[in-house]
Amino acid sequence: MRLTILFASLAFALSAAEPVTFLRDVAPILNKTGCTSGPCHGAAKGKNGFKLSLRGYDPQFDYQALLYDLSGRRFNRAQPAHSLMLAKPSQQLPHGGGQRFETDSLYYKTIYNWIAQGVPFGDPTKDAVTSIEVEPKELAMPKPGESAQIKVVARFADGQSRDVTKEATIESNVPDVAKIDARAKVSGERTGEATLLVRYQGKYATVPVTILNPKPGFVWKPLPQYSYIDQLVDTKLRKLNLQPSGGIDDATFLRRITLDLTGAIPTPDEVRTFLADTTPQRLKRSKRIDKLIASPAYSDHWTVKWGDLLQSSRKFLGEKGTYGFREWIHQSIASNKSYDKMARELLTSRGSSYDDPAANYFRTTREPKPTMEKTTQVFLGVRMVCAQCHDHPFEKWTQNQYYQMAAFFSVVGLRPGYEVGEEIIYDQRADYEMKHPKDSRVVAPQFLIASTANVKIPSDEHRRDALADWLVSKQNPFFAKAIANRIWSYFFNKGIIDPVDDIRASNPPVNPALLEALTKDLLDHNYDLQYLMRTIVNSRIYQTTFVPNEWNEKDADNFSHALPRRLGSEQLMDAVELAAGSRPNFPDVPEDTNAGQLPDPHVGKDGFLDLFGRPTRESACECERRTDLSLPQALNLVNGTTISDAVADPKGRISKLVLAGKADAAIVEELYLATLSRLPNKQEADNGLKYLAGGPRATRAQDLLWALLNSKGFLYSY
Amino acid sequence: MRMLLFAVAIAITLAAAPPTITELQPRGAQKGRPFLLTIAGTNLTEGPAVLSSLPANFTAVSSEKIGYATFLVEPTADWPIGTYPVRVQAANGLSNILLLSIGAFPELVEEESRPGSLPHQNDTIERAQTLPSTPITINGKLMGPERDVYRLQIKAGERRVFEVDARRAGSAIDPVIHVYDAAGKRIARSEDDPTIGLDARLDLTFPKEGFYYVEIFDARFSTQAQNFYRFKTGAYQYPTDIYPLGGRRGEQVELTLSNTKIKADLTNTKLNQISVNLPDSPALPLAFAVGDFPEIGEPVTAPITLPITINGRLAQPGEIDKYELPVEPGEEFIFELQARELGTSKLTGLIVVSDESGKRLAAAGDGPLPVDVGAVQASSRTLGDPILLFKVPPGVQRITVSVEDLAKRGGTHYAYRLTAKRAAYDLRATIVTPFLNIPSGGTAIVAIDVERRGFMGPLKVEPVNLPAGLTVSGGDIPADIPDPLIRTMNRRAILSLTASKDLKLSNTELNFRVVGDKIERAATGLGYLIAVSGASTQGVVDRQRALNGLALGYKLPTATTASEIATLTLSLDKSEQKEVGFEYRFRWRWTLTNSMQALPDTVNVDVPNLQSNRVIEVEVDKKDKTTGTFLLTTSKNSLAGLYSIGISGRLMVGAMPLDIFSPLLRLDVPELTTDDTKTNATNNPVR
Repeated sequence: MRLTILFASLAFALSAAEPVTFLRDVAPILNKTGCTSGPCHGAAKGKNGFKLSLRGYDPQFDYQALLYDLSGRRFNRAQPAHSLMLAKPSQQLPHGGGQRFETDSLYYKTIYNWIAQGVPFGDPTKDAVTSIEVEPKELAMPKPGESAQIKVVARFADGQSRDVTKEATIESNVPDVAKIDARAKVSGERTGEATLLVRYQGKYATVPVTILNPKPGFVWKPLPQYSYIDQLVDTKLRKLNLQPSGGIDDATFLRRITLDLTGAIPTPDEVRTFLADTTPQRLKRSKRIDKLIASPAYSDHWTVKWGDLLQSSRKFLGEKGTYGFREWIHQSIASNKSYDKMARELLTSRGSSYDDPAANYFRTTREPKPTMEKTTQVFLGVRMVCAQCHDHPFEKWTQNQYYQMAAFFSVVGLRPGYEVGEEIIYDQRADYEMKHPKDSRVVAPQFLIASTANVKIPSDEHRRDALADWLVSKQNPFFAKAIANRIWSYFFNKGIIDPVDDIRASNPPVNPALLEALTKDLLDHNYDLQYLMRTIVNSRIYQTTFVPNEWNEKDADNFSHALPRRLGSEQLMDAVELAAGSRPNFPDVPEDTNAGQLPDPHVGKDGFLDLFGRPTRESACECERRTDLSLPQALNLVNGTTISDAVADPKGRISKLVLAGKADAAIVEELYLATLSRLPNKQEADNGLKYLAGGPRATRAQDLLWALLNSKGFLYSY
Repeated sequence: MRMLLFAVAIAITLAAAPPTITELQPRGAQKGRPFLLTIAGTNLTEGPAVLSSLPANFTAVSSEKIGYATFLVEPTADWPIGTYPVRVQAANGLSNILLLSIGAFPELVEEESRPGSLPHQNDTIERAQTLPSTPITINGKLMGPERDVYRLQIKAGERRVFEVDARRAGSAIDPVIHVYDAAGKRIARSEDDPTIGLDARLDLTFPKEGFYYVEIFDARFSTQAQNFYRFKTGAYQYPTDIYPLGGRRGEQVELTLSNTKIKADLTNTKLNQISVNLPDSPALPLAFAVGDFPEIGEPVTAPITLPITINGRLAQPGEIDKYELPVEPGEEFIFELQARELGTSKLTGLIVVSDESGKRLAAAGDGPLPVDVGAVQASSRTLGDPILLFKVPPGVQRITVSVEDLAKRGGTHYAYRLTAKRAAYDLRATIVTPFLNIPSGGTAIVAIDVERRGFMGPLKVEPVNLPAGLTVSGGDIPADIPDPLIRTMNRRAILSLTASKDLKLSNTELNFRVVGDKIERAATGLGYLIAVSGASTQGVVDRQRALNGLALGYKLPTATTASEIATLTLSLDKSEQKEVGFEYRFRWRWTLTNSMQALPDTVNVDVPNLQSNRVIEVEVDKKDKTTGTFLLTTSKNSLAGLYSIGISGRLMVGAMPLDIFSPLLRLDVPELTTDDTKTNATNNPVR
């Protein structure tokens, strides 16, 4: 009875409304009111028997669902107010999702009119959204506590536009810096940077927000600029009122650069020699960089990193396959194979996995979809996995694009070879087309994004070559940028876009100009990764101390100071062995094999290396490698056998020092050099001498070494 | 209750403790030069004599150490370069085979491999063993995950071949060679090489005079029982490629090795492959296949007539060789490719049959993989050369058979042999027990694998011309359900051979054949089995394939040995049908020559090919420990058919385990009926 009266009163008021279509008017309401969200009808299986596409990425599907589910009983065209589509969300009838809008709301009226007008879908050539514009395009607030209004305007295919601020979804990637409310008002919460992601009907826009440090008295103090890197970082820092920290001393530089380029700490002799070298500092450091890049340890270290990304593991490749793949990676790095060539060889590899180890690339993921996901994540820094089931919620990638990209790999066949562990990777001759899960239609391969490179995709099975051409093309906007960003992150513990393998509109670079410049530099030098590394580590920014100043102490994003990080698992173990002068003892590898030379994570499994975050290589995500610090790790350092055995090694450093009759001062100095890669300061030296004199020398020396190995100065790169 | 797999290992029954050889010292010798051969092993005290195809006198000399037998080896004829099987025979039976290599160069033993040497003597460049600059063969060992490094002085402009014979010489090592310059910079690497498989070879010319280092290690850093290698170095010629890959039995065939034409004499060979080599090359020879059909070589332009073997080569990447054949609808053909399995071709073959319009009718080499429950992971699986069983569909009068490489590769190492014949099906049988020692009055087990090629009917494996005094049981393989998609599969038959007390056999070759309806094929013996260990300590099992000597053409070398202390028999007490299958109550019984011998409280049971069977209620009689019973059950998934059932029991004689086998019984599993109870098995051994 109550419903009937209500409906009668509304009938006249709404009947003479403007034309309403699903595409232009109704679908945005479903999205804004949460009907298409994951917890509601956008869930994979829908809700209470009613399924809509997630976040409304497929309006056609949603329209069909509304029209035909329940045999079309969601609408009562004669009496629109009796329609389930109005009665349920307005809570006139019980609705599991609660009330989504009031009966006197504009949303109710719009849907009422749409039903009254016969539920027209609309004309995609007129009603589809072609773009959205956001004002302002960038927000800079001089201090926290200020606010600003965001306005979103949608443009339609027929040229009309509409203020959709209320219907648009706006989210902040750092809400404790910039908070957005339901009325699209942005509040600056604290000093820092954030990005607002604005979404409306499959269109996206971002708004960078900067809240400056209001502390008075900031005066930019220029520091030397060795390259464009220093210039571009300084430009950003100056804009944010952030004064960069100063440089590091030679000992810290040597430790940092040796760890970053080779995964090892310098030996005591290397530290002594470097400190004693009177060559002008920049030149001395530059020479050291060149020497390290030319060393075998450099190839070992970067082989581990690429082994992680390419998932080199005997679980997938068998023993011989793993050694073969590692050898291919190692040789690629040792010969400084250009990055595009390396990627091309992986993607176009065919034949025996023993003759062409690059073909192991396909043996880890095996199926077209995971191979595509790996390829885009590793080489483009793009995560496509969400788009397998629906259009990407935070990016423009659609489900169709997911399958179009996967279609490049649907031709790849794998078949056991004649030798044990050998597989033949080949292009299938028949039945290789990728099918769309919705309707099983054949999906033709198509590049994720158009590039100006003129790459044609063949219709037959030779499509992988076209993919490689497109991927490594200098016109590809992702390929060079992704690796430049990734390489940067290895030296700064953070990408300019971070995470490095999640490049998307809603995750913008903290310094776009810097990333562009690095990318261009890499392209100008034909994907020479060693060149890029040299450029980065020769910069002043790389050689900045981790100690902050009063202006940059809260900054962790803009490279105003270094970020200390715990040594990686292999680095830590090799550092312990080097510091203690002992040898690792891994099973099934030659006795001189160190942790950074292991073929895969199955050697020494479940031991020290895994405890300290060695990745299992189950995925291509950088996040697999953990550098956290946990209680089990701390207990292992204190009580575990790795350190205690190394310290007490009868052929180790302590034994040698004592047997050689070294003086206490020499022992203290040697232990500091071997662990912290620097000479002890006076207080440290005095304390060391005092401790050694307090009991049996060898025991005390072991204690001192143990203490140093457990110090932050040893466990961290800084 | 453990189910017993009557696999290869069980062939070596321990009743009379037959000899086992584990090592030859040295692993090779220089051609024509007498040498001392020491054979290491177990149970070598019964006056062993050497059996070998090497034309030589093996004269025993005294050996001071237990577990070793030493022989003075003198040539009795020319020693062609190659590998020769060596086994010993004694009163306590036959031993396994190991391979002895004959080379052209003076032989040297790696310092580290000498008895009493310290390990890791030459693991690094700094500790490299210095070698003379003259051509030489070094016999070395890789003892676990280690490297061996050798130092050589080489002149400017000198050409030098570095070659490691391992897999080809019967070693489980998969060798890798690295060569470093004096500064320690790696200048060359070889892991596998065309025509020599997993072995390694480098052919380098050195621009600078100086010291160079050759590092040898196993590709997996594995630990192997057969861990030796033979490292050859010199400036010598070797065959880099071969074409054609084989020829017809009874003919003189011309072939090309590295652009050198030579003749292969196939007039008298009974083997399926022989060895060929460049004249005077110190390299090990290559395999050359021997076929029984007429042969032709590329180019082939006219339609082919069957049966035939076509010798071809995919000379360029992407090349496809096509052969036309007039056919009639309903005709059946078998097309079989030989390439990769010969070890002289890299071709991963794909056979495609198309009709006149180019429509693909059938293919082999890229289809679904057969089920392999033994494969623990993808990387453990292997596939051989493809075989295609083809029936001409209606309306097709001409077919094109094409050969291509699966990965569209090509070149000098992509040769093949395509054999085509009219046949609906075929069989191939392999005796997987490499040799047999049968205790006098006792029983031993033989396993024979049968590859079904389109023939799904019941099969019987049986001996041919069995010597008097030997009785056989078993050998039944029941019919399989025909499946148009899976036309090839492997089945295993087991047979028990029981020797009378007065039978004397010494290295007697037994022959077997597999017989089906209108088809019969002789079985081929493995010759030897040399295990290759996979690693399991790192959490992933890497199953490896053993090396074998199929090419030797052996059948089943057999000897009788002294009586065992016990015999074991099996009998059927009772059988009945239950709701979901049959139940069989079997009884075992021990007969002992020594009443004090302790008996096991269980037996192992094997019923090959019987799916979904269970062995339960294994119980020793409480009053009579020499007997006991167990219950064998089948299920609805068990196919009706004729099976063989056998048991074994393990006695401990002294500290040594001794497996005793019963003669097999026939087990006839009928179709399940609605009758409540049905007796259905015989109690008679199959004769």
